[in-house]
Amino acid sequence: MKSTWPGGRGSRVQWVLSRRALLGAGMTLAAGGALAAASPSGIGGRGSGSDLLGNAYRMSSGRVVSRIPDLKWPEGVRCVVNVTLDYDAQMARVSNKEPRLEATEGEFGGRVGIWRLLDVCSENDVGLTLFLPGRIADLYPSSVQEAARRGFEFADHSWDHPAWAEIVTLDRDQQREHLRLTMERLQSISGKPVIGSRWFYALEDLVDNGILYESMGLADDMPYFVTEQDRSVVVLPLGVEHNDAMYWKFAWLRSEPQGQRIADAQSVGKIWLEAFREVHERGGYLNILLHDAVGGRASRVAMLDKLFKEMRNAGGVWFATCGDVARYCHENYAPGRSG
Amino acid sequence: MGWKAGYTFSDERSPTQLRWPNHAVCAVSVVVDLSVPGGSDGIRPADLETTEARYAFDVSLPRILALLEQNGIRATFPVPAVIAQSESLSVERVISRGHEIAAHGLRHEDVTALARPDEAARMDQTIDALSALTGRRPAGWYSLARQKDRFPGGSISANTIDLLMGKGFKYFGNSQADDVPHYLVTDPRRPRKLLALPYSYSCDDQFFVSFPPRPGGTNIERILTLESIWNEELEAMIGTEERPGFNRVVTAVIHPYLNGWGHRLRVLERFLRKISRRKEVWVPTGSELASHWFSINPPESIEIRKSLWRDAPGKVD
Repeated sequence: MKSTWPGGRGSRVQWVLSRRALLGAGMTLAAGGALAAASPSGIGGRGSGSDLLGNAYRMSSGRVVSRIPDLKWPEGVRCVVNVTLDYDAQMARVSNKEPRLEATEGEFGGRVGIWRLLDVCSENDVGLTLFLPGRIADLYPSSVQEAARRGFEFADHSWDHPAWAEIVTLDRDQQREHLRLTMERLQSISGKPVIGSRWFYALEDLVDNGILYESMGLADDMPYFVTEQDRSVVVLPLGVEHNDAMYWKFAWLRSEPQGQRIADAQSVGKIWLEAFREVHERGGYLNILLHDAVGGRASRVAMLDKLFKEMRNAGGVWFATCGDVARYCHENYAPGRSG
Repeated sequence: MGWKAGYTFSDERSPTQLRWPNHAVCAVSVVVDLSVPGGSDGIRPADLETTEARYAFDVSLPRILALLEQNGIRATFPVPAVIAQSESLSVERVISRGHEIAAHGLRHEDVTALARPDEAARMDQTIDALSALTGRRPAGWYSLARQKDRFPGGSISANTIDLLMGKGFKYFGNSQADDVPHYLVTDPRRPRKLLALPYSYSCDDQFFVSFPPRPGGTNIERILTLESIWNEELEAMIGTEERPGFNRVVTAVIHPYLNGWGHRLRVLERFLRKISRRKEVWVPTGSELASHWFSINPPESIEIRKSLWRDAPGKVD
């Protein structure tokens, strides 16, 4: 089993930064694993080819992104697949003031879709990780309790999935309060610590609350670390092409009506199987993101069932939870640990 | 805060273990939207003189009716009141073939911002216009989206569902909250419930076959994808040897102004033939589907729990 690095596969590394959180930040690539300070211009000035082989870089914000160049999976594991589910139901739609009949699509997720996705993961012995807005536990308590009963992992996905315009108005205290409320609620249901988050919280707040991983962004296609002031979390990368909403959600990210190309399930299954084959061959990592509202429709669940079976048949696949992968990385590859 | 107010229309969980008439394992509902493109105020007289409107009523509709008849399928036709008046010959042709006529607004206008009395008056006008033509009050009310709407779910106001209950409608035609009929609840204190039939934009032809000319785009004729989705949903409901079916409802929505000839008509023909020949499939009208649902899941069966929805502390609400 061999892992290769993005720096080794081409002349340029494309750093795809998560959503808006990191956009606009200047960055400097570091050479040979050493960290370079950001240049005053904010535009990296040392971009020779060899710099691109470095394992870490420091953002102008001070955040350090470090890859794990020698990442090897546990004995017998050829590649890792994380199936993650953002259980939003109608939370985001209500926050975004979608029209009433549009928000009913979110209700489909809570009434119907979530149960099917829990089932298809159980039936295929897939270690599902649910990213939950804390208040979902109030809207759909039965399904959240059932997910806990089945042993699936819970991770933070904000308190009530506020709209972007609202997120940016929350001060740090409010953000910390949301994170605390969500973690408390989820832990009270699962009886297990919440160690993951997929939201926009400050890294300091995540780590100080015991969060070990987050799952947005694609600075690498293997798990990597981000560090600020000696606090590190694992990032479990996520590509937009592995997000079901991109194929199936009308008006996704405010796209215009004429921009819609709703896909059939088999086309998406074909793309994801192809992605998996490459990851399997290379010994890599794949994060499939599902949403209850769109991913829970009948034909799409039938597709997932088939996809999971084909993945399992390939052999050597670890259908881990995100927590499994994050703990493994922290235990074996924490920054500074092995020099 | 009330019962998950502003968040939830229906109860927490959808029923499973469903039984359909004639030992069918699932249902397919065919909905033919007799609207034509209009502005946000809905259909105006000039909108009936566009080439696509004339095509819809004079060319496409007769062909679609013939296809339905050949396959022994009775469909549900949501009809805006102004269409019932202006295109009465077409609508009479639909009625004479045994299809169900449902209401589709006065002019298929956006009702989101209407004042309650205004909306109520328009509803009465719509009921009167359809009753005059069909001889009976419509049982169902649809609010399907128009092709250029920002969202594909259709428009209702804060009052629409409550008004429909007050006017004795048997069902509301298009809610996305489930893929079987489900009850919409507007007031949990004295439970008033209206049955809604399932809808999903992923099975509605208008989002696959035509797009505004600007900004346009490439490869935007995607009816073969729609055909694939119809078939995938149908097969997932029926199931395979490896995997049991989901046993629920597929709602295929078509628009005569978009679908009446060539490859689009072929796609429709193939699907109608398939659902009429598969014995696992029951093909009800909206009203038949609603009646069956009342018999297997009456309104009293739904569970509205006392509010589990706690007010969150401080600034969160």
